[in-house]
Order: sequence, then structure tokens, then C-alpha cells
Amino acid sequence: MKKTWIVLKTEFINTITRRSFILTLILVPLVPALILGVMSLLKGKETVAEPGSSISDRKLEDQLPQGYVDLADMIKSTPEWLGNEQLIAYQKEADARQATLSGAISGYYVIQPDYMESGAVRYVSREYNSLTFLDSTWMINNLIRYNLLGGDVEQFDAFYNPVQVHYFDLEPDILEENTDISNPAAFYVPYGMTMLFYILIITSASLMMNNVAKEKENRVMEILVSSIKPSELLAGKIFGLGLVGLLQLVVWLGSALIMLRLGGGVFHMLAEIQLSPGILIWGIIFFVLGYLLYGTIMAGVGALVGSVKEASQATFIVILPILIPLMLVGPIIERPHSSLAVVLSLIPFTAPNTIMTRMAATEIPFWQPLTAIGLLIITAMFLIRAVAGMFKAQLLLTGQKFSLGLFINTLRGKHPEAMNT
Amino acid sequence: MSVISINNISKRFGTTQAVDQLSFDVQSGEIFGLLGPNGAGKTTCIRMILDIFEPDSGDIQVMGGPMTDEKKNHIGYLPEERGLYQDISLGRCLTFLATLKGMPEKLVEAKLVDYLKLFDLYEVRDKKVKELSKGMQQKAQLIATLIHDPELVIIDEPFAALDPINTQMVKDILEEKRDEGKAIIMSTHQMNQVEELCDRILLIDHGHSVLYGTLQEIQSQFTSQDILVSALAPLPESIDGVASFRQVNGRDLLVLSEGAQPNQVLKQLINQGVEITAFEIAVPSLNEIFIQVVQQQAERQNG
Repeated sequence: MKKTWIVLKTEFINTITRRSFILTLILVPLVPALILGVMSLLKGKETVAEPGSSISDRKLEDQLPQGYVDLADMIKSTPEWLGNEQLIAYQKEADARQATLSGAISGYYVIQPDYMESGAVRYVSREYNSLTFLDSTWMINNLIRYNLLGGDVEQFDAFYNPVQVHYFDLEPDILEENTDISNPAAFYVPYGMTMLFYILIITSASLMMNNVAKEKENRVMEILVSSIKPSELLAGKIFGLGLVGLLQLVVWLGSALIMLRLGGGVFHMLAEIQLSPGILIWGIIFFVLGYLLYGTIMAGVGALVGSVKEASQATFIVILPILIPLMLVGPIIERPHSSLAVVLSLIPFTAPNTIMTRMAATEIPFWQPLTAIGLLIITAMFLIRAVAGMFKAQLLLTGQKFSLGLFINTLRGKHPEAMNT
Repeated sequence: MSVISINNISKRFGTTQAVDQLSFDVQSGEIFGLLGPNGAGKTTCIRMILDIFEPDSGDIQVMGGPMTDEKKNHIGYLPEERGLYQDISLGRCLTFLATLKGMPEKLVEAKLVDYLKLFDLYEVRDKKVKELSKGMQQKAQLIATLIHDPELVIIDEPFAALDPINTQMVKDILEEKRDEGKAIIMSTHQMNQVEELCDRILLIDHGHSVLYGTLQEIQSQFTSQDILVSALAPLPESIDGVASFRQVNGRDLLVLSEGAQPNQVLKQLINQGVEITAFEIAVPSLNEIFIQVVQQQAERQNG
């Protein structure tokens, strides 16, 4: 047990102090954070919306307000959510012009007297910027729309969002609600979750395989097995490299949650995304179990083959199951309660990815993640026992050419004869 | 006191009998040479001692009983296939290997400095192992083998990749360990080193024991009546009791006729006025014995 701890500690420290690991750990969240920061600077005068708000709830934080002069006499009232501070009414154009010149407002609209026939509105400012101008016209647009609809907030909301579509599967007994994939956030967040989990599990599991294969290639294995039981070595590696993966998960997923919160100030789409902190807890559970499953298999592959190169060639065959949810991510997100999504959630090899994708897309029945966890634990325990059987000195000191048949046979305890005198 | 006692161990891999009914023992305070041609079964034998492989039959006693995890902490092993972690610093690599032998980290820190200085590696302790030369890596492996002060040292080709100065240093360390009462099993093909260091040897071929005993015992088994003579002038063409003679390394090797005695030949040479500077019974080198025995074994196998 003490030696398992030594292996665990060494593997963890050796990996997290590697320059490539530190760079990956930092750069993955840093790059999107920098993009958000740059976009935020470029859109300096943009409006900010609270997460989950509708158009009528928007609070305006423009640095400089705009003005308008209503020559058509059509603006009878201003909605509360627009307020009187961001779009200031002027009786005379001369006053608006003076306010613009003095820097009190960025510019002003003049609603022409024949607006009802021509729809003409003039915009006057000191420095016309086509980019920021297009971004800020929604205020005057909505003020006019609001007044054209007689100043009725409910009618305005109904006009603005005329359809609230709910998607349902027509099945014999149940009607399950589906995801509105026309909303980009509803698609990209679960998609991002699928990718994140795929990358995390495969990165950590591959780390495990390369680690074992490298020890064989570097010929350290013989010294190791003369000092420590192979099963203790396996346990130390699984837990040590698992902690590395967990660290990556917490940093990446935590950064994603923070960015979603802060990013709402830059992109309205991000503001509409709601990920509960609970997803981090589910994420940790499913990462640990997914890693145990794939990390153990990869350790078995590493124990079987003779070099890192051969191990890499074997990777694709082993990771095939985890690619299935990735290939079917569209249907899973669009119909998170379909039979396909539920079945993939319960198969241990596809469960971690599928469950997390569905959780990011919608709420799923509690029994499903619980059953998936149970099945994952049973499968992981079986695999750990089988691979511990493969972690025998005779196999660790030799190298076999990888084939799925050989791997399965070895897992079943039918070791190939190792020749080494 | 026997540190290792092996009785009739056998090991088969598939159709190959790697070790066949092998028995020997290794005492504390001796350097024991485990010799044999490539593929003779030496590595398998060592791996069985270390409990890496289990013998198919026979019994291995290490330090008075079967191998245990605790006993593994008192064994230093330098395998034939050298290996260290390449991507980490030398210091961290050696610390890890030493702690796996049960050494507390604090003690490792203190002893490692001494060993690194002894092997002239202190300045490169923070360098990655892959940045070190082959000789440096070899010395680092020797540190990993010895740092925990093992009771039993098993070393396979300890002088490979070492220059003469480091070779001498390693020889001195091995002799020092022997004097401290440690048991050392050395496997090598450098017969001159075996002659210089080993107290007893075991020569195995095709998994069988071929020669076993002290160096003197074995050499005496192969000693003939041949004589090596050095003289200031050429020897007479005909000497009574000498069947033939030839030059060997600047000296004359005299092959005696059956029944002839070295003393008679010496007396005759002196009487004939030959100025002799050296006269000795020709003892075969271990290298010659090795080649002779292995060739005989091969002939027996083929014939």
C-alpha cells in the first residue's frame, strides 16, 4: 500500500510538472478567455443582459445615451425597461444637436413627419461608426414598435416572440419534450460537453497507456517489478494519473462555468446558457468512472504491447466505443429522451459522454445517471481485476503485437507464452 | 551463511526449457559469478531468484526463506536491459527508485548526494536522464542498485559502457561490499573481470549447470602438464620430455610428453645453459575454459 502511494505521488507530480501539461492546462481555458476579453474590448459600448432575460428586461449600460426628436408625434410612451436615460427625448432638433456637440449624447434620431407613410428616420452624430451604429439601433426600433402597438407590453412581447415551440416525440405512451436546436446555445453547450468529456477521458486514458508502454520501452519495468508488486504498480498509476485528469477537469470545467457567467456581458448567447454548479459534481463522477474504464483498458494495452508506437496504433480500436456518442451527438442533443440516447446512457462504454451531453441539454430522469453509475462501477471493477491479471511480470517484460483478439484473450486470463531467457 | 539457496529449479517457456534442474547457493561475503553463453538461462534464473518469475518446480530460499516484499527491499538489482525514466531529472528518478526500495525520502536525499558525488554525477542531478551520456546513465543505474545498502546485489554486466577509471571504481565498490559481508551475484561475459573479482562461479548452458565451484578448483580441473617458459635466448630445438612447443604471447608454451615432469624439463634446460627468466605451469584462463566447455556442450547437443 505504501508503495502504491509512492507510485501515485510520483506519477502525479511527474505529470503535472511537465511543461507540455502545464501549457495545455492553462492554454485550453486561456485562449477562449482571451477571445472573450478582446471581443469585450471591441464591443466596448455594447449592452449587457442578465442571464436568462428577455428583450423587455434588458438593462442598458451604454456609456453615452442617444437622443431622438419625434417630428411625427407618434411616441406616446416609453416602456419601463427602456427607461429615459439611454434614449432621451428632445422637443427640438436644435436641442438634440447641442447635446450631441456638448458630448451629452452620442447622436440623435429624427423621426420624420411623414414616418407613417415613408418610415423615414434620420440619424445624426459627431462620428458615424457603422459597426456600433448597427448594434444600437434596436433601442429606437423597439421604442417605435412599442408605440405602433399602442404601448402594450404584452402585445409587444407577443409580437417580438410570436412562437414558443415545444418539441415532442409521438410515442405510444409517453410524450417527451425535445431540445430546440434552433437555439445555438441549446446545441453548442451539450456539444461542447461531449467534446470536453471525450478529450478529458481519452487524454487521461492515453496518458496511462503511454506511461506503461514507455516504462516497457525505457526498460524500467524490470527494476520496478523487482521492487513492487505489479498490481500495486497498476493501482498507483490508475489513481495518480486519474488525479491528473481530475485536476484538468476541475480547471477546464470550472473555467467554462466562470466564462459562461462573465461571457454573458459580451455575447448574449452565452448569457442565455445556464449550467448549474451541480453539473460539475456529476461531471467529476462520470469523469472518474469513464477514466477508470478507459484508463484500465489502456493500461492493459500498454502492458501487452512492446512500445509507445505500437500502443498508439492500438488506441483507435480501444476508443471506438467512446466515439459513438460523438458521432451521434446531433440526434442525442436534439432528442435527449429518445431510446437511442437512453440506451447509450446505460451502456458503460458510452455512458459518461452521453449522460453529460444530455445533462447539458436538458433535465434527465434521476434513475438514469444512477443506473449508469452502478453499471459503470461493476464494469470498471471487472476490468480492473482482469487488467491486474495482465499486469504480470512475464507480460510486462515482453512485447506482443496488438490485436483485439489477443487483447481479449489476455483479459480472459489466457496469456500468450512469453519467451525470455 | 547462505543468502541464496537454490534446489533443482526448472522453468519452461513454451517448448523451450530455459532452466533445467539447477542447484547452487550463494554465501554472504562473496562475489559469485553467474556465467553462460547468450540464451543459457542466466536472466531467467535471476528473475526467478527475484520472484519476477515463478519456477515450474524446485525451491528457492532467499535470506533463509521464500521471497517476501520486505526482502525485496534488501536486494539491489542491475538488470541486463538497462532502463531509467528518460523524461525526468536524474535526482527525481533515483529518489523514486530508492523510495520503492523502502528508503525514507529524507534518508534518500542525504545518501543520494554522497553517491552522486562519488560517481561524479552531482553536477548533472537536475538534468533530464535522456540528456546524460550512456556512461553516466550506467553509473546512475549502479547508484539505484546500491543506494539502499542491499544485503544481496545482483548485477548483470556491471562494467558495460564504463571507462577504465569508472570500471576500477565499480570494482572497488563491489569488493568493499563483499568485505562488508554482502552477497553479490555478478553475471558478465568479461572473463578477466570474473577472474579478478569472483570467489566462486557457476557456468550454465542450455539451462544446465556445467561448472560450479571456486575459481581455483575449476582452473585446476582444466590444468594440463603444459609449461610456459620465458628465456633470453631461443630454446633448443629438441628437449627430452617435450612433445612440441609454440609461441604464446611472446613466451614458449611447452606441451609435455606423457609421463614427463615439469621439474625434469626445467633441470634439463638449466643444464643446457638456457638463461630462463620465467617458468610456470600453464593454467588455462577462464576465457579458454568457457570456450572449451561451451563448445563441448554444443558438440554433445549436436552429436
